[in-house]
Amino acid sequence: MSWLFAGYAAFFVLLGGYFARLLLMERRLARERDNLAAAREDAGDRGDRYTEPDSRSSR
Amino acid sequence: MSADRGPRSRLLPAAAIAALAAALGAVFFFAPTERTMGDLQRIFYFHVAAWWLAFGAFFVVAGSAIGWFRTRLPKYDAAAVAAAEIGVLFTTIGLAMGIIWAKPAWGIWWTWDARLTTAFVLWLIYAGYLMLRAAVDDPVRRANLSAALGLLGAADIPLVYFSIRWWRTQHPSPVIMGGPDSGLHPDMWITLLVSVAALTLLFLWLFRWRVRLEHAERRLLADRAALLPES
Repeated sequence: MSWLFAGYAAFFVLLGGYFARLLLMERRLARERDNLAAAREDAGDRGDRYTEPDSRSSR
Repeated sequence: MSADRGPRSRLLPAAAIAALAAALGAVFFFAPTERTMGDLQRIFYFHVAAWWLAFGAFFVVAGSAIGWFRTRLPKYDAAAVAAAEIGVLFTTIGLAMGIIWAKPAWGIWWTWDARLTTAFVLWLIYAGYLMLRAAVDDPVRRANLSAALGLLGAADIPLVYFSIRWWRTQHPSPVIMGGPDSGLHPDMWITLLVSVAALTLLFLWLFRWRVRLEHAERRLLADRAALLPES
């Protein structure tokens, strides 16, 4: 019976890992959208370009 | 999950979670106990369902690759990467559940028979597909190379599926459309179909979510490039 539970535990651990990936990606994109919006405002106020810290995309 | 989704978009996650609960209920409380393996056989339901969904996901990758080569529309590339990720997830689940079943059933975790080897090669191909995507910066080149690999990789699916029919393997013989002694108890069939339905809904939920994130990421990169044309 313990092997059976181990099998289904593996299922949920792996699935949970992928959910975590999607949630983290969601949060990262939201943060980068906010940064970009702030950069646009900043650039508009100063009349020049803003340099945003490099942010690596995950694909 | 972002705020642009109404009650209709919550239908799929709710259906997937309910179906998953129903499938687990069927696996643990409804399906009869198998005569020789006992409770250990209950791993079969999600193991088989995960593999079927993995095959389905990789067929979506191959179909999207054809779509990309014919039209060069980015939506096909976005669908391909989403399906490939979820396909690798389901392949990993299938392998892990198989390995955990094999130890008590065979006394070993793994053996290099035709089914296990072709299945492992399938996992390697699409794990490599994701690594390839991460290694190429130019979006068109990345889409071309990964579409070619996605198409080639799908050629391994029939090998995995038919390996237990073409060669003698340690892996159990097919119980569905197998020989005259094969087959499933009707309640086992119901449990398997409920498990496949649950994992299909899960696949659709994850796929829709991942495609949306991929489009959001592309929009963000385009907006950033417009703001910072020299970068």
